[in-house]
Amino acid sequence: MARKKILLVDDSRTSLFMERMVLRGEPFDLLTAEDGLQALEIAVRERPDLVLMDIVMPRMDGLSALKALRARKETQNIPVIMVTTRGEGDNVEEAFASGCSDYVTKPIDPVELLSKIGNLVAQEVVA
Amino acid sequence: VSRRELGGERERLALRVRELESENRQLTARCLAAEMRQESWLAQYVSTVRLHSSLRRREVLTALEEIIASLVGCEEAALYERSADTLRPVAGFGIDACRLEVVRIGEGLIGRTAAERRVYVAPCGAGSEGAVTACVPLVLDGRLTGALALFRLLAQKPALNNGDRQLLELLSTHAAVALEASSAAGQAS
Repeated sequence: MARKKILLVDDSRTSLFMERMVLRGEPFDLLTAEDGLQALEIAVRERPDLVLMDIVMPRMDGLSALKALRARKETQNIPVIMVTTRGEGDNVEEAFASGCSDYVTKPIDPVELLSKIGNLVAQEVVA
Repeated sequence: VSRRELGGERERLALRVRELESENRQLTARCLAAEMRQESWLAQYVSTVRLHSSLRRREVLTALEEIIASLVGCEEAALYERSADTLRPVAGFGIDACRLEVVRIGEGLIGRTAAERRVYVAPCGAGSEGAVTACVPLVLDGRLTGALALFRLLAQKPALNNGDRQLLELLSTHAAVALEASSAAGQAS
């Protein structure tokens, strides 16, 4: 099976490193971005199979980036998992309303993350 | 085959099913424990690499803040540095360090934890606002250099677990080394 491409988006180098470590050894090629704007550029160029995106980020936050991804024809169907940190109940609701596929909370549970990514990537294969 | 033999066989099979169910439960428990250990080691590895990835104090403080927020799951914490027999708040993560008071070593929860040089973790998470959830003495070569106080945890994190305690014990030494190294590097330059 072809390796899947996953775009990790977070302004925290610690979170990006943790996510890379969790996904290391899985059949994924990993791309990284440090804010929503950079994520958008990479998503349009690389067409990842899934995006894992933090909400609170500089320049362009995760929710704005999600809306921008959904607004573009070439990225509108890419599954997006939002990563939330604190007091973001409203953000989660808004994220689902904007078309996010799922969400995880920090501190990230590796098993939960792998399971959610696996589900979405598998759905993608079937589709 | 007689009815009696069939009955005996059914009992043997029922016993075997119960044994397999018990084995399954034990294996599941071991698997979960292994997953938790792996998660804890992963967080410790990531923390160690991040803390020692820079000699710039600002970068070390950012790494420490990210570790506390993203890996421990705490949204309010403070870093204290030792000054003679007191601990001075020098950085706040999610809170304003200026609001915090100087702590005398040996007095109060933070001061006592620092004096004893043993990580403190509140049994059931932080109670009231401003209460200490955990306190980590920063120790280098057996010398107390400061302390890290954790206050409010993230809403989705009810309490600290064994993996978190291990990570805090790692921070006790590695954060002390990283902060000391960044100070030395800053003075040298």
